[in-house]
Amino acid sequence: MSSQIHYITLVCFIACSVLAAATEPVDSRRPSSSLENKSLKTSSSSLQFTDLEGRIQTPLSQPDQRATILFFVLPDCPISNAYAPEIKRITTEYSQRKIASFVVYVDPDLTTDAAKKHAKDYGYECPVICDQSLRLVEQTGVTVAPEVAVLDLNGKRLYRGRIDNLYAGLGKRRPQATEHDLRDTLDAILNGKPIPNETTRSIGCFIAKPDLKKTAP
Amino acid sequence: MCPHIHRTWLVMVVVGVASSGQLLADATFTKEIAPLIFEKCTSCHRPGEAAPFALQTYADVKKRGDLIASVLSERLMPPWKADRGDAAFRYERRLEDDQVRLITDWIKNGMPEGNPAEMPPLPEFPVGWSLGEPDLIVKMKETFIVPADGPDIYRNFVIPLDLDSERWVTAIDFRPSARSVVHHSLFFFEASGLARKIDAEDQQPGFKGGMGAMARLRGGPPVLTPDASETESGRPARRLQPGAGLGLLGNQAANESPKFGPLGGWALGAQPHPLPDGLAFRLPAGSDLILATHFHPSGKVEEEASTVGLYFTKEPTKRRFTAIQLPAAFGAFKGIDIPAGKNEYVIEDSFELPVDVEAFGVGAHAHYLGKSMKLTATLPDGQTQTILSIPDWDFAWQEQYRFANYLKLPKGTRLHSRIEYDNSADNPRNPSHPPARVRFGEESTNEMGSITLQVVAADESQMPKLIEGNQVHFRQSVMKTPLLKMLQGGLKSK
Repeated sequence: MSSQIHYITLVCFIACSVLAAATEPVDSRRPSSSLENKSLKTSSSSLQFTDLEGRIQTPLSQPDQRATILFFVLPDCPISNAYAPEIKRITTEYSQRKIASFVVYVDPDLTTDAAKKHAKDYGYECPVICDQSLRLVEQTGVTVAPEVAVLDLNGKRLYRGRIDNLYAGLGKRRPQATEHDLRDTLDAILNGKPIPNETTRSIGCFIAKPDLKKTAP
Repeated sequence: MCPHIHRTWLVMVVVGVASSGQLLADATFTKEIAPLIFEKCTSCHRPGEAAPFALQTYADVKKRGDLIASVLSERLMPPWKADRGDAAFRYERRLEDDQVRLITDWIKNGMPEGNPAEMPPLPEFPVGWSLGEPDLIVKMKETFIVPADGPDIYRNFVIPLDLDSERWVTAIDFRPSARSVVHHSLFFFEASGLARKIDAEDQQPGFKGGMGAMARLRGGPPVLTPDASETESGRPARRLQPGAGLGLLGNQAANESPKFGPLGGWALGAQPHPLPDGLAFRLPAGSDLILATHFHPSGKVEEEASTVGLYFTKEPTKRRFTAIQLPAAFGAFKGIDIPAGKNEYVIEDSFELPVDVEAFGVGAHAHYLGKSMKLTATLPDGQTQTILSIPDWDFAWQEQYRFANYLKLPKGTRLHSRIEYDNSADNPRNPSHPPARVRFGEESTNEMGSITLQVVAADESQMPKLIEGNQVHFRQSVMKTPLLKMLQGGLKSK
């Protein structure tokens, strides 16, 4: 990707995110949403990560895709792990429809080797990123794992929340999910329809607070 | 940004619990919190055990502060579903309300570590077999592959024991190889070779589990055959095949020496404990061990090959024990028929003790619609005690509760069980979406329900009278069956 495209993307991202900050509806369950919007506004789409394969990834800037899914996961959270097969199905199905996926590990203590082993065990096929300083967590406002953020090609957040309603609460798993929020969101984006719910509450394990991380930036 | 978000959520969680309690502002990890965590959490939350992460150090706990506050406040952890009743339980994992408040207040207060010098040492957890070297160690013949996802799996595995004489089992220790997917396992013996035959019907290791399989092993559908405790004749030379509560009671109707029966069970979080007071399960010569194992897929393919350690008593059990199941036969005669959407459907049963008994254990069983369970005892003097109360039934945590001491219940005590079901869409565990009419049956989409009290007669010579009373109660339950409902529903569900 040329640096020129990067520059255009960056300009576009800043424009879009300023717009987003002005128009994004307020989430009544999340009193801190204005803080998140500020973070989106001041952030840059050039946030770079090296994935587990050693490739440079810019998950907030995917100009040749229609949208990007960030799957936030914690390797020692059973709820997060239980979603691995559905994450794989969604990444495979929607990659053919120009939707990019990233699995994002959000445990500041996770070593690269442990991440590689976990990603192999659970068979993640999309690029896998370790977000040890929780920058993507701050960018998107996720609080638990598993939780997803869906971004437009410029990194503007279109959806944040659960993959589906398989869990009604911690320790309360349904026999099968009956509402598929992420798939509905992606289908709406692909069909040019309004997104049914821009935020939902995800059930999972809390992501450790940034003040606990060992590698503060 | 994120710290604010987290704090806001946390305050919401904590306030819900601790609104009336004062903040113990000076509680520290090393002084007040670590002893509680070590006592109630760390036996499972340590490397090599089933819990998903360790809780052994300040860093471990601090990192999980928000999650710990949530699961304690919602009473999800430690897993212990029974309310405090009138009889104390042994091996209780529950935290008291003030202990929960102490921990959640400490989390709310920023989780101060305190003086590291005050840190208590980690308890010494048993390495290897916690009850010592078993008398017999066996392992599954083949490895069973558990897929990455999909519905829960019930599978029965047959392990030959090659015993040339009868034994008496006081405890069984169960070691899964894939701890993240094995939820529980119930143990049975089968001594006629039938289990091996069923096992050979397909190429996979073991055979399909669930109560239908148990009915085959027992030699008939449960609706039509009385269970063990009711069919014992009480001949002095014979010893009762005890009911394991959650386990089935076995059909001993035709046999002097039953060929199938329960041996207890293991569930996540449970440590192996010998039966109290020299009590033991009879294990006939030539028995195969059956593991009825419940798996829940973890997101990744796992391979299970369980290892089992059996502990025998030197002598046959001195006191026979039996199970009083209310309602009998898991509610088969109650005409269970729960309308779709009904959020409060109740079955009840009562039994008056014909002799003085001493209870040592209690367990409950229902499927996914189960909502609450209660067993009470009204003593001859009119006083009522709560023996078991599970206000929020969870199929996933079917504990076999043991009393701290024998619970003495005099002759004339009226036991009363009440089981409530929720077949509405508000029950997230409802297997049907939208809810459907549910009748009695053995599949997890059917319902059943009972509470089982494990007892000995206070005076061993009164055992025949206790068994006879239990038999009479069973026959009366059959006579009172809403026959029409049973013909329409109960039998059809087979």
